Amino acid sequence: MSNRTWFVTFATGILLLALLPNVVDGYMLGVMRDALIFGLFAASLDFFWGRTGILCFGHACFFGLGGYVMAIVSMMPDLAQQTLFGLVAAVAASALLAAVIGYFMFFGGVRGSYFTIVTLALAVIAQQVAVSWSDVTGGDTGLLGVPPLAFGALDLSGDIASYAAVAVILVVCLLGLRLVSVGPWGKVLTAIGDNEMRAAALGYNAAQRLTLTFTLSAAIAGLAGALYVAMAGLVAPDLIGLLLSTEVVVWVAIGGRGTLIGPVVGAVLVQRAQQEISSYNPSLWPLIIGCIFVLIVFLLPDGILSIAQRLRGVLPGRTR
Amino acid sequence: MKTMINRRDLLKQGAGAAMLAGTGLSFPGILRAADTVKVGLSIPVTGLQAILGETLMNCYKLAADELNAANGIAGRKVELIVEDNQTTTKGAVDKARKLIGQDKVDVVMGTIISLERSATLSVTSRAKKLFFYPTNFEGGECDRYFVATGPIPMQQVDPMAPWIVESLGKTVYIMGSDYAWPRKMTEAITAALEKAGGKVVGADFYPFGTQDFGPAFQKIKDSKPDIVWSMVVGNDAVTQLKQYRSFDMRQPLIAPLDEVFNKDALPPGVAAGTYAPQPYWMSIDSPANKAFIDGFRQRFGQDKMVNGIGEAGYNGLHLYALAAEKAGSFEDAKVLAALPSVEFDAPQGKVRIDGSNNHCVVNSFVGKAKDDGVGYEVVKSFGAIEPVTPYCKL
Repeated sequence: MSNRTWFVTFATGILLLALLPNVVDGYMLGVMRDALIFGLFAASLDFFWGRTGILCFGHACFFGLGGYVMAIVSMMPDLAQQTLFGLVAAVAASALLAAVIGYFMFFGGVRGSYFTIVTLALAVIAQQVAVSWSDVTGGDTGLLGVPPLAFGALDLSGDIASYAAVAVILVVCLLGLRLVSVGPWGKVLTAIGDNEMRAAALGYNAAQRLTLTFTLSAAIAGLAGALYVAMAGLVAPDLIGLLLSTEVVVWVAIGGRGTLIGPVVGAVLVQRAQQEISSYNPSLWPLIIGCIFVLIVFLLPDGILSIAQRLRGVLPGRTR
Repeated sequence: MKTMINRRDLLKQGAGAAMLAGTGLSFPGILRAADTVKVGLSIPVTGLQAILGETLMNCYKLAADELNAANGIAGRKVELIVEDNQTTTKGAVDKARKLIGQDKVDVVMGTIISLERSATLSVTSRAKKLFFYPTNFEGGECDRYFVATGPIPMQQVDPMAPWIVESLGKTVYIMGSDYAWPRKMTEAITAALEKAGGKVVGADFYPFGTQDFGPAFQKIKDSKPDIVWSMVVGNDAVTQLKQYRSFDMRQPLIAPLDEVFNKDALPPGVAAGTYAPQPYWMSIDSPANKAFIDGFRQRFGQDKMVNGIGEAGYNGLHLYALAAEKAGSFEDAKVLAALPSVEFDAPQGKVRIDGSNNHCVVNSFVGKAKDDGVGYEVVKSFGAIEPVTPYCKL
């Protein structure tokens, strides 16, 4: 996606986010807020997958770890600035886990589908740990009573305040990730994704770059997890497991891989569709959603965001 | 083939409910609120617990039909709003918010496994909305607006332990899936057996997805307990029971099964002869139970089974109706205040809510699976058991 198109889309997105509180009620604002958090999660996966072409199938590990750490830290009694410490700890824990895993995998030469399979196993292990280690994680019940976001006297628990906080965090993260991915760092990543040996021959330490990128991606996933847990008020083992890992891959694929905004759009649209259709028909909805997915993959292999580009191509008087 | 037909029936009902909800939307909000009482159901229609979810949903439908056939609740028609929580945390949070925030339901009911419950509870407790939970669970919840109509471990285990020592044997080996409910049950069993003069000689917990219980059975054969008490659940229970038979284990087996699971998930006959503690069995001989089963089968099929979770859901809606009528209001706090003072003549026997912890005084029975491996005969009835919760005093 060209830089100009990206920024036009980005600005349109910000405008829509800013207008939303004027047109919907508190409930719907909460729904959108959660969808945006998962959008941030999807963007974090896309940052790694979209640039390097290496699919992480266990990204919910980092989302869930961030969530658990947030829950545990922010529920500590007598801790001032619970939210702040919780967020920092959540991001740090997810980044650390990704750094350790990334180090052993990337420096050990694990790439492509092997990486995907190992990360898939990771998600299964993480969920089992969350269920079994019940003294810390609360077992299959999870941890209830996570306090909402608050920084000192600044209380962000209201509908509009929490929505605004999430929207701002999302916008800042997207912008940061975009700048990294179009900058020199991103170009090297693309080079590694295209042909790692050639990139290495040019003097780039591919394993190190991949590890750092993976760590950044996981840190943002951890941030998203921490935000979600604070909004939902609880953390439970399936937030760290395989199902969510699969869902996020779908969101990225539907929205448009490698665009960062696409995955956010994908996450929001898929979740809204899922919620509405499952309310309309509680038993038939997986079938309907499945058909829509198949259609999108056939008609828009580059994701929903490619509609805009296609339209531009069709409009007269414009050339790309 | 049979499951296909069942599923199709379910779809039809689902579509019907959706259409009902759709037509409801065309009325102005205030009129609608005055005419109906809205019961929000968070049910695992899809996902891991879909088998049990279908039965639970049908039990709520039966209770709503019965109420509507009479006078509704205090003259208002009961409107069920069914939502699929997908057996996930995210799904359950979303659906609870939708039921409260968008549909403005008067009460939330349903959910089966712990993560559905805690996700729903995290929403309902913040919103101060009544939440009726039907499933037997590990206990530990204590919330003003949370009402449990199923048993906690002590209600199943305490009365059963002396009976076990007397009629089955003194030493028990425990096998459980590795999560909270089996672990809490094991604590309760260990304490209760000790009191009764028995002993837990071993307890092993297996991660979900365990394929091979052979080594476990070898261990059990070596330690020669009188009884094996299993709390392995879900698909793993299917694997475990098949292997229990093929390993030719001789000990009587206590397993957390019921009629619905035996019929829909287990190969025929595998469960035969196993014991289970439950607050409800289909074979309980009472007019209320006969009416319950007849009503259920008339609506959902003559071959259908019901279980304790479904019955507890049915009881929950009826208890809510009685309490709301007595309170003369649908306000959460007023219904809650009236709740301990009503009693419902449930299929299992009389049930009521203990106001000190909002848990249900349930009956307790030992069932023994018949030779077909589906139905149970009641081999021992302990009567009504009070829920004792040292951790909760409301």
